[in-house]
Amino acid sequence: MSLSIKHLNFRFLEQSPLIEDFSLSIQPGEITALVGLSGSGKTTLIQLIAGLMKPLSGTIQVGNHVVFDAHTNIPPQQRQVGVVFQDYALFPHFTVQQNIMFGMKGTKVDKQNQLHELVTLLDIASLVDRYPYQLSGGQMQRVAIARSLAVKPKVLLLDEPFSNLDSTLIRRLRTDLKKILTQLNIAVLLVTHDPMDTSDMANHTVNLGPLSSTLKR
Amino acid sequence: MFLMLMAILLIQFIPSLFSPVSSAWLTVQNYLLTPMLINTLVLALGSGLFAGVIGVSFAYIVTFFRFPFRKTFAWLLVLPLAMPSYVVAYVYTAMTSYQGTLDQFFRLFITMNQPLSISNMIGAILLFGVTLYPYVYLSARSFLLRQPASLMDSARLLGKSELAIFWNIFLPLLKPALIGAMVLVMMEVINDYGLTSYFGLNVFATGIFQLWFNGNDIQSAIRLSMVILLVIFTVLWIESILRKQKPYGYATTRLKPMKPIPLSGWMNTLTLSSMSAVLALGFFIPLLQFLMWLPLVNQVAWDAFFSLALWNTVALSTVVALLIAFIAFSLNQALRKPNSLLRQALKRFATLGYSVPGSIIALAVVMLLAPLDRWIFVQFNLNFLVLSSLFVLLIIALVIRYFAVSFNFTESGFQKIGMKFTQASYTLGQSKLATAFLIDLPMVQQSLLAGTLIVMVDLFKELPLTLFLRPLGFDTLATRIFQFAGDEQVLQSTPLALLLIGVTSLFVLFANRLMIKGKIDESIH
Repeated sequence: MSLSIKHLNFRFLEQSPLIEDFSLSIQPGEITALVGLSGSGKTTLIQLIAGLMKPLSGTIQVGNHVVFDAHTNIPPQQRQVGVVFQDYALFPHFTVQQNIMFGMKGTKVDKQNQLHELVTLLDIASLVDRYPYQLSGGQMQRVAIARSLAVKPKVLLLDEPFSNLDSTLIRRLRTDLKKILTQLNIAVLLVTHDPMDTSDMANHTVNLGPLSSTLKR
Repeated sequence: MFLMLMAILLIQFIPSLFSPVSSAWLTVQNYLLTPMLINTLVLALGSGLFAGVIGVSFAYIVTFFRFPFRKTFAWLLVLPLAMPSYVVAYVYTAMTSYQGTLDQFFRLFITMNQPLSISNMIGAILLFGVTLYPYVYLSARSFLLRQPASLMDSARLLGKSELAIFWNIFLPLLKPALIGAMVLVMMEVINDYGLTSYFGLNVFATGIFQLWFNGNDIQSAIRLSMVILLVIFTVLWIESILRKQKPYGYATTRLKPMKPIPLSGWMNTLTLSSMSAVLALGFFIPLLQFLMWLPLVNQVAWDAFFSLALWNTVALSTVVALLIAFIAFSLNQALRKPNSLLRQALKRFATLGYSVPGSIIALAVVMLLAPLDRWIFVQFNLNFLVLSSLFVLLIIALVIRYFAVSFNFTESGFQKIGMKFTQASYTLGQSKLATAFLIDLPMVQQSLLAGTLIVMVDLFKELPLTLFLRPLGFDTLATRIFQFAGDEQVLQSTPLALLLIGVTSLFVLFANRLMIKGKIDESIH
C-alpha cells in the first residue's frame, strides 16, 4: 500500500503555520526519510498521518482510502497506520508478548502464530516474558516494531527510532531494520535527524522546512 | 452531567437574593455580619499563615538537611492530616479545663488563679495550624524534591548562607505552590463547623447553621452563604493574581537529586525540638490523652453506637470515594487534551467544590433536590422521603465537596504518563474505552488510589455535610464524636475517636507511601 499526502497544512493555535502546503508520495516497498531542523514539524507530521492530530487542510491517502480530507477524518484506530514512537511507548505493565499481541485481531491460535512469526522475524523470541524495564534500548526498539507490525499496517511511520541508542548498536540495527522493512513491502516513512540513517536506509529523502524538497537516491 | 449539576447548584441561589428580607436577616446584617466577617478572615488568615510557616520550613529542612531521624520525621510529619481539628479541640479543651491533664501539669510549676483556656481565637488558630500544616508541607516538599542539586550547590558556591538561599532562591520559586496550599488551609478553616461551634466562635459556618437549623430561615442562610462565596471568590481571585508568574521549570527531567547537608549542633536541637513539638501538639498528645481515657470509658455508653457508627462511616465513605474516583478518572480522560482553554475552565469549575464550604453545598443540594424528593413522596404515595432516606442528597453533596482531591491526584498521574501510551494504543486499533481500561487505568492506578485514600481520610473526618444532610438517626464516627462533645461527654467518645484516628492514620501513611513510590505530585489539591 502507498502513502500519499497532498497540500497538507497545519498550525498550532494562534501560531504561525508549522506545515505549509506539504506533499509527499511513498510507494509500497519504499523507505522515505523525512529530515529537518529541530521544531520543523517532523513528529507533528507523523501525528497528522496517524490521525492523532487534525490537519487544517489537505488530503492524506493510505492505499486507495482517503483517511483525511475536507469531508473525512478517519480516527487513528481505523487508519491501519503503524507508528514506532521515539521512545517506543511500550506499555510498562505488559510483558513483551502482551505488548505485541495488544492490537492483534483473530482467534487465539491465529494470534499465537502471528506472534511466533513476528518474534522470529525480529529475533526477540527469548524476550517474550520480559517486561519493558528488563530490555535494552535495541531490544525495546525491536519489540516496538513487532508491536506496530502486529496490526498489519498499510503504512509504517518510524519517529527517530535510533535516537535513544548508542552508535555501535545503531549501525547493526539499521541493516537489520532495512532488511525486515523491505520484506514487508509496505510504505515506510522514517523521521530522522541523522544523515547516516538516510544514506543507509532510505530510497528517498524529504526535507521538511521552509524549502521542502524531495531527493531521490 | 457532573459539571451541569455544579452550575445549577450555584445559579439557583440568585433568585433568593431578591426575596423579602426576614427580621433574622436584619439582625444578622446590623449586628453580626461585620464581626462574623472579621472573625472568619482573622481565623482563616491566621491559620493559613501559621500552617504556611510550619509547613514550608519543615519541608525545606527535611529536604535539604541531614539530622537524626530525618527519614522518620519525613513521613511522621504528614500524620496530623489524619487528626480531625474538632477532635483535637475537644481533647485540648478537656485537658486545659480545671483538673484536666495540662491544667494539673502546669499547676505543678506555677500558681494559677483560673484554668487555662484554649477555646478562643488564638487557640483555634493554633490548633488549625498544627493539624492542617501537612497540606503545605506535602505541597512544598513535592516541589523542593523536584529541584536540582545544582541550584543549592551553585548558591552555596556563590557564598550564600542556607537562610539566604531559602529566602532568595527557594521561597520565590515556591510561591505558587505555597500560596495554593495556604489558600487550601484557609478554605478548610472557613468550612470547619466542628471546632468553631465548640469554641463558640462567631464565624460564617456557625452563622449559616444557626440560621438554617435553629432559625429555620433558609433564605437568610442563603444570603449569608452568598456573602461567604463573595469572600471566597475574592480570596481565589487574589490567589490567582499572586500565583501568576513565569512557570519556572527545567527542560530535562534528568536532574541530579539533592544531597542533604548535615545540620550543626544547635540547629539539630532546634529542628528536632520544633518538629517534635508540632507533632506532639497536632497528633501525639491528643492520641495519648485518648489512650489514657480509654480505661475510664463506660462500656455501656459506647457499645450500642460503636459498630453501627463504624459500619455507616465505612459504607458511606467507600461508596462516595468510589463514585468520586470513577468521575475523576472519566473526566480527566475526557479533558486530557493539553493546553486547551476549555479544559482549564472546566477543570477549575469541576474542582470549585473544594473551595465552597460544606454548609453552602448542603444548602444548594437541598434547594435543588428537596422539591423533587417531595414530588416523589406525593406522586408515589410513599411514607418516606426517598432521596433523603437513601442518602442521595448526602452522597451528591459529598461528591461535589471532595471531588477536587481525587481529580487533582488523577490529573497528576495522567500528566506523568503523557499521551504517548494512549496514542500508541489508538494506532494499534484499540477503541477509546478499551484504551481507558487496558492502558490508562493501570498506568494511573497509583495516583488514583492515593487520591482515593486521601478522599477517604476527608470523608472519615467529615462533619458539616453529614450533620446537615444525614437521614434521621444516621450517625457516623464523626457525628457521634461531635454529639458526645456537645453533651459534655468527650471522654465517652474515646473508642470512636481512637478508631477514627487509627483508620485515617493508616490511610494517610499508605497514601504517602504511594506518593513517594510513584513520585506523584504531592500537592494535594
